[in-house]
Amino acid sequence: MSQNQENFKRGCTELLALHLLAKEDLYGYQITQLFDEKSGGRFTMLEGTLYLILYKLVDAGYLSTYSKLVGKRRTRKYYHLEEKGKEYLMQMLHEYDEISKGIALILDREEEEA
Amino acid sequence: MIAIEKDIEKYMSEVNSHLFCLQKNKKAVLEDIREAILEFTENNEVETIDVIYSRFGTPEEIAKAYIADAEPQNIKKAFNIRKMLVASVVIALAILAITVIITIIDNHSGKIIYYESGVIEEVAQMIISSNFISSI
Repeated sequence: MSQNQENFKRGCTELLALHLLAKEDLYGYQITQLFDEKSGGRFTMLEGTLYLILYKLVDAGYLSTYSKLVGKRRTRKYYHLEEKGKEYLMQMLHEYDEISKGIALILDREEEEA
Repeated sequence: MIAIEKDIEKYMSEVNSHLFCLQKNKKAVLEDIREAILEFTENNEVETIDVIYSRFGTPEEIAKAYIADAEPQNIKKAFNIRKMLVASVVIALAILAITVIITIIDNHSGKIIYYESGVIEEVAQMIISSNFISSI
């Protein structure tokens, strides 16, 4: 994958992860699986790098975590979207819409609305 | 410990050494990755470490992703802490080396003085005994 693609993907990951978590609590592997399935294989992410992004969101207070027992002794960490995270998600969605529109206009892919 | 477990431990150790960030961040992320790997290996056939690389990323990929996303001041802070630790170790080793050298010199000086005083006593004895003999 090119560096440009990597950079672009990295910018989107927070938005996409928060969006998925707005629907339900998820653990790391589920998030990477949903990225892959919903994008038709176009957006894939290494699970190890996802945890770095999730940690940043937890540290900022947008997400919280809890552990669930899996099997006899293993625990699995789930991520939950907090109210602060919902507000951040709305803000990011708005910014994404604005930027997408701007990019489409520059690329002559969309006519500016009067 | 079976071969793949050893490889996984080595992988975690490499991720730990490659990840250049504040210790509290590193600890949290490494715990997450370790738990995820353990669950993955319990539910999947993992014969080689390449399977872990392709699913979780290589240590270099993880480190690169962190540096690309990290706040510059956190990287600077982690770098300064590391510099301070290295400097502290170097200074401590230097002090230890100087202490050892001084101790060796002190001990060696003590032996020379003792040896010299022993020779002086012997010579004195010889003089006394030769004078005594000649007086007789």
